[in-house]
Amino acid sequence: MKAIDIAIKDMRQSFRNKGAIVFMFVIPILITVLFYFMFGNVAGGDGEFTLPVTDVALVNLDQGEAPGFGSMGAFLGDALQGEDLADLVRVTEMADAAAARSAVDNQEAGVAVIIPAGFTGAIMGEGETAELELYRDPTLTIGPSIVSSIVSQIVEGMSAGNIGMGVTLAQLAEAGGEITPEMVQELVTTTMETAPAQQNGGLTTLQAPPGQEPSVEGSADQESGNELAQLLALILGGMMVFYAFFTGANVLNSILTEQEKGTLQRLFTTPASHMEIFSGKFIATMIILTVQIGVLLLFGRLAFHIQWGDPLPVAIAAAGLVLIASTTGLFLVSLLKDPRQAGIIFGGLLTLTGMIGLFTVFTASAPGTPQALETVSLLVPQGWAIRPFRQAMDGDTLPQIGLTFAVILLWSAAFFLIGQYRLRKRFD
Amino acid sequence: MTTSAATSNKRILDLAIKDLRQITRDRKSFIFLLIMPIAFTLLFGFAFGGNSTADSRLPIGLADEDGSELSARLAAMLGASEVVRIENEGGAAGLSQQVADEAISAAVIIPPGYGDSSLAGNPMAVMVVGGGQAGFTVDGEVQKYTARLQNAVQAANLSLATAVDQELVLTADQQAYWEDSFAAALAAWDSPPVIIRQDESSALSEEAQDTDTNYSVFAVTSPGMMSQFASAGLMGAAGILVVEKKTKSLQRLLTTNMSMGQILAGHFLAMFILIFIQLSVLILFGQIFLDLPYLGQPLATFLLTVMTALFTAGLGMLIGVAAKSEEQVVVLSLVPMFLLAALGGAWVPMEFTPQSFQRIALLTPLAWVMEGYKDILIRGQGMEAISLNLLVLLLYTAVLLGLAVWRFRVN
Amino acid sequence: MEEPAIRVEHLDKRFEAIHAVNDVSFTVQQGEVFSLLGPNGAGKSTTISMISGLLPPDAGDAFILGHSITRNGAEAKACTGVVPQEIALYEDLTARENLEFWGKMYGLRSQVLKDRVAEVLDMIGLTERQKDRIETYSGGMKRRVNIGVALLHKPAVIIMDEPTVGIDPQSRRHILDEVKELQAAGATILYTTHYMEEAQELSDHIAIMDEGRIIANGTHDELVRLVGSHDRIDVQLSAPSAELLEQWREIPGVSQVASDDGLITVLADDSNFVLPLLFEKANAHKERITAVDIQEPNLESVFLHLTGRALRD
Repeated sequence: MKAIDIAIKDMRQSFRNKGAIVFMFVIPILITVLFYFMFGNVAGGDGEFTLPVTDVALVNLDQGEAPGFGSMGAFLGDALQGEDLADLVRVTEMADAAAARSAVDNQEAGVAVIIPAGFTGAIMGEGETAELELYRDPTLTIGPSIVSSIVSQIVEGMSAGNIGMGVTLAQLAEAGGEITPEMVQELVTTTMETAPAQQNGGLTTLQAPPGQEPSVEGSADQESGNELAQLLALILGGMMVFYAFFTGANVLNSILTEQEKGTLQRLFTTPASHMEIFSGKFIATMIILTVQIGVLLLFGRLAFHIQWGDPLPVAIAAAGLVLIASTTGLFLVSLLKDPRQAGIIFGGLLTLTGMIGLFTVFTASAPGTPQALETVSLLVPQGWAIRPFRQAMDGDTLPQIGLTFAVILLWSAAFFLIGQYRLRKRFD
Repeated sequence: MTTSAATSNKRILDLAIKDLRQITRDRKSFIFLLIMPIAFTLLFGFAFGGNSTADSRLPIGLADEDGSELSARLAAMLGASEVVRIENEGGAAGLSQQVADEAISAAVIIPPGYGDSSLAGNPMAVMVVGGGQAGFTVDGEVQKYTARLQNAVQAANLSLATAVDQELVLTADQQAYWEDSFAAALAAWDSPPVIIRQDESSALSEEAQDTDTNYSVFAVTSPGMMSQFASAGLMGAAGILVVEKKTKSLQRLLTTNMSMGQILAGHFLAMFILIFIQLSVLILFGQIFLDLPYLGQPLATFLLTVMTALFTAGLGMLIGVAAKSEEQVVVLSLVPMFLLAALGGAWVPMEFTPQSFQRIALLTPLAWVMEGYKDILIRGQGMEAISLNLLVLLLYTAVLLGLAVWRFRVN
Repeated sequence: MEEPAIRVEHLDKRFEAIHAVNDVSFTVQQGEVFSLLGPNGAGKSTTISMISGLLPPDAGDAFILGHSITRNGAEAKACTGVVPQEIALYEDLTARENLEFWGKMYGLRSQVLKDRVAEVLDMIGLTERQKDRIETYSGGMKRRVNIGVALLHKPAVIIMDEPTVGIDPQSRRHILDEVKELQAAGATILYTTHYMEEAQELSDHIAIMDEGRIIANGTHDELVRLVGSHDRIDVQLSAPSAELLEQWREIPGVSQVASDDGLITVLADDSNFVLPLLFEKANAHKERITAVDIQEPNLESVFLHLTGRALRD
């Protein structure tokens, strides 16, 4: 009973502590909201990410004309300024190449497209190879890549016509055939009309990986297919795990602060045993963590429609987090001598291990992340704490989640045993 | 300088030295000041592919369910690509799951009948399984090569048709003629009529640049983590102010000849020196070990660093004056650290965020710091590019210091 | 025969090289105020810590109303209320919340607890401020709550560890009066202090501690008699020299000379005889006596007599 009294007293102190409330609830929610505004498609509201509009500085130095087709440079310029690309590029025509490059240097444009003189001639096979320049802002990645992709596609289509015509004529010449201007014109018409069409899609279909298929409009699964909700689930889940460890450490740090203030010693002069005193503090920590995790899970569900997963797996994940965060706190506190050490040690160590453990959250969509770094995240307790939440979100089976929970239990048991041994040695 | 002014300056310096002595005696503060920014710069850099020795092409899986000569050609073209690299080959279902498990970026599945349908002029679509930016990129690359293949088929068809029209090819030789034309059409892509040259203004050395992003990721993570942990590093300095109040040392100081302004100046100077040294060490680390051209624009880097240290010290003063306990210092330091870092683009480059968000971000000082360092490190620009940034940071410093002085007076 | 309230038998405690408490024994009868008097570092707080169950003794035992602190700790603690030297309260909780919590730690529950909390609040004069957090209280108010916590469960034995250190005279007076009231109500009080006047005013028995040992134990009169009829002469010198003090020691009738930063305490058989000689020798050394105070033997004298040092050293 005394343990419960002590737990209630500790909880009362924690929930009155503004700093603790900020760490428990405000920061995780704030960061998630920040990411919502960073990535949220506010206008569309369908939760799918849209690509940014890239400013393009266009210079067309091409003077040539293809019979029946006009300037290929103008054709390329018109294609970039077409309605179907209006959501991706915003084109401003410039007088010369220097002005276009300057626009990029001054961050007025993300990329400059400089169509060279002789562009039409090269396409028509009448001149030397033409060099089209894409001058890009080095700090941008997506926008210039998109423009590069679009320009490449159009130019490839034009080049395909040139190549088709060139091969036909070369083969004819080798076979001893007759090449007449009318034939050439007919070939030009045929190749220039058919080749670009080949470039305009239909040759591939892009499909989402299993588990990430876009859902039917209005279906019950629509929320889970929502890219934004998935990202926010990772962020809020990660922040929840990150700050749960701070909560565990800070609440149990009351052992040291009470020792410094003398109230721990005073507790020792009462009939309450050491076991009751420390049990009470540990119970308080677990209850506070449960409240914190519960509030954040509920907030995520209500505010951002995050689908955490089926109730049982989520409950197991939450229980695992409560256990490992509280026992880690106990372990850390047992290593410290006084509360002054706690600030830097908790802040430094928990931030470092938290960020290592949550790498899988930060690098979720980054291709090329070395696998070794993902394995490194499992060297710290936070890496294991986030796993069952991800497994629940991914719909993994109970045995799979159970295995992760078993590892979490092992971590927790080790921390608990070491922590309580050290504290008993100090205070008994 | 008059004697009293010299004495006054000496007192300010004495107070600053006292503060610095207290901070540097606490070895644990070096964790936040130096070790963590370096560790996170490296960790985030490596996590986002900042290792220039690794193959940065997107890893893909290939499932050739057709087995024709055409599909083999497509596979060979993808194998020679500078954008993707074939990591695995296997069945479609297995590769798709690998994409879902994020083991590979995308899976390319050539359907059965692809070769025959392409030769018939109505090619079946090649399936690309992938999500996000990676899926888009791989799809674009596959489109390019399938289009070239199809164009080569069309060119060979046209060539053969023309030769047949002129009765230049016997029926028995038509297949060989077609294959020659097809091979010639594919080979012609080695020397296309138009070459696209990508160019940019970048101060980074070629070795330091990443082929995917065209700049080293460290050029973003280094200033990002530096700015973020400058805010956290001032915890120690702000904590001294709090302890001074708690232990009544501040009241004792006020009973001496030192004025309130001198006391504040002394503490501010200590914070500024601490942060400036921290940033300088991190800049040297970036210059030497990460091949980042901080010293390519020495004056610009120096002034930007001074301004960053000034505004951070101003923030530290406000926190130290406003906080009532060391615990509050931690909260008041870490919360702005996270907020300003997120808003300023230290975690996620601003180009990924909506325009409205980017506009809001410009209200925060770290956004100006990040843009300034990016101008220096990536765009290779100097004073002309960062003058406005310096002015904005100076304004922030003035506002923060003003608030700190006002709060100090109120307290 | 009535069981003593506190019986301390051969308590011993070492902290590495320091023998903080060295074979300490004493007995406190029920209803007594018993003072442990001694300078800082004498071992008083360590002795108190062992008796209140905070520190395990290396040897010996103590009994609170017959309950051993080593074998029946919980029962012993249930009879004891401890007022620590420093304020040991939860500053972010209200006075009421503090009292309720500590009452629960002493086993009080429900209506009994509520009633007792109200009584104690009234006793310490803080009923009107009971809902305010301790952090908003003045130092004196905090001390009152600090004492109030120890009284919640109506303990038979109250241990007070230097409760008047560092507080203003008015609060100090208040605490001393409270001690007398508690004794009048039937409590036994073990009181540690380094202020002779407090020990003199409050105590039925006094034990003088120095360097971990009890060097004298008895009533005030018994202890003073140890000094005999020695007068205590306090002399203020402008610049005391060791040579002069040595010469004073050699004056017939002088039993002790102790120096504390310009204030010299001399124990002598007869101050009328010794005083002129003190002046004579001071003049010979060209040293000026700036103040002289002659006192009847007291606990300071006792301490000086037994240790050769002033109690305030």
